[in-house]
Amino acid sequence: MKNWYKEKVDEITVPNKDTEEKVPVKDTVSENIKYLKSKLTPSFDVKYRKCEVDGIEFGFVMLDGMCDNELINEQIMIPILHGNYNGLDGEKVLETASNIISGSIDKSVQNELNTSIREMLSGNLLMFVDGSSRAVLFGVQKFPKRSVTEPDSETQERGSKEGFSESFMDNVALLRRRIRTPVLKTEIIEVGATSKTRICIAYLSDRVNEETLISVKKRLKESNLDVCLGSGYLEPFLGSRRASLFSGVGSTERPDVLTAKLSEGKIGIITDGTPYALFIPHIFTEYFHSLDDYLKKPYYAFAIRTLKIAAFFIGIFLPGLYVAVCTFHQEVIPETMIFDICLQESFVPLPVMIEALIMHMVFEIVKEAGLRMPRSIGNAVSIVGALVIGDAAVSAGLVAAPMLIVIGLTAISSFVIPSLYDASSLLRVVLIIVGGISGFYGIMLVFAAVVLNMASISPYGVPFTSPLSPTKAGAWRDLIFRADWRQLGKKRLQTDRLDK
Amino acid sequence: MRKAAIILIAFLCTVALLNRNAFKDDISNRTVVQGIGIDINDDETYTVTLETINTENYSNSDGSAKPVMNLRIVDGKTVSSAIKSAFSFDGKTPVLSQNRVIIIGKDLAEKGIIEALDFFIRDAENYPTVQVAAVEEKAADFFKNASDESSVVSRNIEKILLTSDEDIAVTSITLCELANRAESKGQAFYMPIVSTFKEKDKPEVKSNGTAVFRNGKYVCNLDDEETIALNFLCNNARKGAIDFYTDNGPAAISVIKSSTARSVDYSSDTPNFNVKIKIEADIAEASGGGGYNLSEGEVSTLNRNAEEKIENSVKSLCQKLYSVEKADAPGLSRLIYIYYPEKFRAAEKNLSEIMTESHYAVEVEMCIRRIGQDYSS
Amino acid sequence: MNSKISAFQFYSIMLLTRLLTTLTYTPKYTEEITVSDMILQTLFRFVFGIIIFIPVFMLNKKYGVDNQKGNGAFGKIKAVIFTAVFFYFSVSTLSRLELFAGTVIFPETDVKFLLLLVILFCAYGAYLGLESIGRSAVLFVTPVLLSLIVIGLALVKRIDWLNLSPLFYNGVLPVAKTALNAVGRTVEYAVIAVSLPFITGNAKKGFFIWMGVQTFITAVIFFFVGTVLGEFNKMQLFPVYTIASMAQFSFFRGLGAIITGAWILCAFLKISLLIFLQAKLISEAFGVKKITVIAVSGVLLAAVCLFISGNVDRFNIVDTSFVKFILILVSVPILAIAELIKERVAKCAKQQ
Repeated sequence: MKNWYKEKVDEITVPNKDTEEKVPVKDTVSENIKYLKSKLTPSFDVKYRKCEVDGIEFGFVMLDGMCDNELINEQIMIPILHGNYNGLDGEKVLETASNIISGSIDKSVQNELNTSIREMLSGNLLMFVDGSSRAVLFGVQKFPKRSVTEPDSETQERGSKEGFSESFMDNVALLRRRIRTPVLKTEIIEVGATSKTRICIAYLSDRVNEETLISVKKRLKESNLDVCLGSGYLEPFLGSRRASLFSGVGSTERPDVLTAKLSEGKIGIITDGTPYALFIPHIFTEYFHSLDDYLKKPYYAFAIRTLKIAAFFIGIFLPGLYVAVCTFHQEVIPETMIFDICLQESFVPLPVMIEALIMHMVFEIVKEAGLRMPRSIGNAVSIVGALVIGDAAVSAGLVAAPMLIVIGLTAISSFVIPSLYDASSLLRVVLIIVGGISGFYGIMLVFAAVVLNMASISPYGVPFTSPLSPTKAGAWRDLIFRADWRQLGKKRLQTDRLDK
Repeated sequence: MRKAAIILIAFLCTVALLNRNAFKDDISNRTVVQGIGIDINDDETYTVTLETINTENYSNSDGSAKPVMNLRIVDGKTVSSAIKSAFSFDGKTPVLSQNRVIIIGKDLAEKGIIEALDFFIRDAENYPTVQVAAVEEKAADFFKNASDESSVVSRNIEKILLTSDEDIAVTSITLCELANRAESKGQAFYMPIVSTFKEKDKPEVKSNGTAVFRNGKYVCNLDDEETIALNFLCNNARKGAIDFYTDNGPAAISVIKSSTARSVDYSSDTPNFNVKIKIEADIAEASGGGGYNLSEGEVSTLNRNAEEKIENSVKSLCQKLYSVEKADAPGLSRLIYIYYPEKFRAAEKNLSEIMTESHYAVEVEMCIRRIGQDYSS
Repeated sequence: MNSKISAFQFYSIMLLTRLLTTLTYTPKYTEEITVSDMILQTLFRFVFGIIIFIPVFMLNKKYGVDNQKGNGAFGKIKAVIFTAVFFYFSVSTLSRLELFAGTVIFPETDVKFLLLLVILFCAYGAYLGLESIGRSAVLFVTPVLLSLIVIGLALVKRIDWLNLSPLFYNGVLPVAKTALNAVGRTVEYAVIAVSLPFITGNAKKGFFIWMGVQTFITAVIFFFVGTVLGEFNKMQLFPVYTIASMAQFSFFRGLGAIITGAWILCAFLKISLLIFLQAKLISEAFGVKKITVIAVSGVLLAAVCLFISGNVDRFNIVDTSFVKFILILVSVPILAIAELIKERVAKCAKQQ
């Protein structure tokens, strides 16, 4: 069976491999451009220009739309074309030409053509000079990008309004702006045999766990991806290998949050083209923390965190418990409620479990539609969702009103911690089914299995359930209750000390 | 994990759909029982009356959930088989866990209730906290007389019985307490009696004294005054009004707080039971009327009169229960068991005789206070 | 699977598994004694528990905890005996769980499917290993104890002191006998004896703390059962569930559901741990893969439990206190004494 499936997969797939060979830069412009054309044609946006100054041929290659044309003209072309290269050989010309360019423009020299192509495709201007077997790349990128805006998924009341964007350098800059220290290290790794996506590994060298750092680099290098279009591609490589709903890898859209994580000795991963940065190791209790907790009074933070925990449990357990109660444990329903529930449910043609599953599915459909469709018709979906599916379904006797309340409350609660939505959504379905066939008995069994599974995850040696278990009482100063900054500020948390 | 979760969900779905028990217990397939009445017939079969929520005739025109109740009267050789046969009404099995009260019919009370209650003790769906009460007619007739379409009789009865903490003229007993007393050394217990009356042509229920049982069988009734004495004797009196007579006419006190200390000692081979009742009370109504301020002497007279009244009622209750009916409903013999185990062991077989011969000393210490004047301080 | 866990984590597991036994006790174990004696016998258990554990402590003191690792023929015999004990107790726990589910949660319903579901989940728990079980136990301890406290508080007003009885009303012997039966139902002694090599920290101190805490909790639970239910407790199959179902907080009633939850969490941990230990012992003694042992144990458990399922006579055979007592006696003190003798003989032979 396994072999059959493997064969079927092999039929439609090819293994990812880096086929790029090393090709040295030739010493004639025409040969280099010929090679580039052979690699890049047809690509209408690649522009090739040749010119001759003092009898020496210069070749320029750039990607239209990715470069700042004005900058190229004023800061590069004009100085180079007005340069004096009499009597100089190719190598000297290359050096002179690159030296007369303003220091504010990034320059790098390359000996290898394929690397040069890759850099050029990133928006650099590539320059060849006859007689030189090297190429110069000028950092003149100017491509369309989204400006730094407020994060959608992690909105804060009093926190910064800046979020990561798709621009790699901007993201690194946002981080740098918050930690002005030489110990902030930013290493770059390329991932993806085809996409060559730049990945920045950020950490504070004075507190990062060396073993973790080595392991992260190794895992990223070994990630056998063809393209990497988002940080989510990397999560399985960085996270726990054990089958689990949780991976031990956190993600954030906020530079301030990433900064805080780095300050605890964690490692940040910024992926080019993605507004979400990853951080590792990530522990379960972090899901319930947000930046606002640290910006407000401790007792307020305590209240909010308690509320989040309650919402998390409601989001996961409420429909399953409702189904279990209605199916097996009618005795726990308060007497004033049993009339309503009994009467309402008796008009619904479906068993409570099936009713809950259908309502859950309807909610997920409405949610997906609301997420994917054009915003202009978003209101229409809300109306259809609220009125048609909600009110009309109850009036028509297709759904009981208590069920609608349960699903509604669950839906709202599950959005209190968006990063846990996927896990809670899946668990919810399991618990509805289990609640319907085995009541509290099954629900507790699944709960126990999930907790055990969580307890088995130790991303990079830090147990996912720490500091609850293994108990690290010292870390409880910032668990549900948060100590005042006067205490909290004295000593920082060192993540790798949360080990077993 | 996703793959594993999907496999698990698929497995559970399959099992859920194939499982022959699935959805059988769904709330929409069940009928919620709020009260149960039990009668015994001449042929030793049982008639069980179930007060259930009627979901068929329910209308929600005003947007509120207004319960409509049904009475299901079923027969069976045992209580269990009778209740199970209630299924035949509409194919819905009864939910017994929401049952508020078990009503014992007069005939059953006289023949003995222990066998009939066995089902409720054994069945896990029944709650041990369910109230048990007796009626002076057939339980089925009681439910018929007490029911109207819009009220839940059983719930009203439960509410009345639970006021025993607030009203010293009401007793209450749960299934657990009843079974415990029936099994304990004295083997006697009591339960409240409920009855119906008409209020503006609308049937209502009320508590109407107490029924005493010995060896599971009804032996006597206690009227309101005796019920109050029983509550004092059993340390169950908390709050409520007591009427009594003074030289000037009727008066009433309102009990705020009460506690009863019971002890036993032996002189030769006869146990002496000492009952000390401490009461704090307000004067609810003084003889003479007019709301005038009472002098200290008048208060003291009222105090004495009230003490005497309670003392006498408790003593006469002891006389009635232990000498006449030979029913240790207040459970005083338990004190011998706890404090004089060896004597108890010796007396275990003729306990009722021992209890008849025993002395019962009752002492009431009442602290009456007028509003604004606290004599206890 | 070879990792060690802290004494705190380990004794958290032990506390929960022991709590399961207390929560699921049935009056047939205490029918010979009165309410107050039921509370008092917990002290007897404490003393008996320590006495039967003395040889294990002596063994560990003389030869260190690593002597427990199954080497040679004696190690193999030990592994087989312990595996049999753990298997027997797994069957007993599962059968009791089935009895509870079939009586209280799903009366008149066939619960065989649920039994299989539990075994499946527990095998998964065993596969995840001791470290995961230990961490989970720490996470479960607080909610389980809190739920017991909540139920206790809700029951305070139902306490009737007159339900207590004179001490030793039926003599000392029945109390001692009941306590010995309880010792026999404490598989934790065998678990601790075999798990000492996997515990970091002060396992001995942890043992005494665990004994004290579990004795106290058991005594409190029995106190509530006795004073709230009185004689009624002897008419109930699961008195602890009965008192929990009588607890009421405001409009919340039927707190028995909380006990059901606590019960299942504890049962899950207990059976997972027992399967894990079987796998650990057999794999170390015979070099079999742990996953294979877990699978075999799971299948065997399912087969035996299905055989017992729904048959009271078969259940009573599995639930016999005497058999359990013998198993604990053999696996804890007798094996330890045998090993002490064996080591001593080996030492003498070496000296000669």
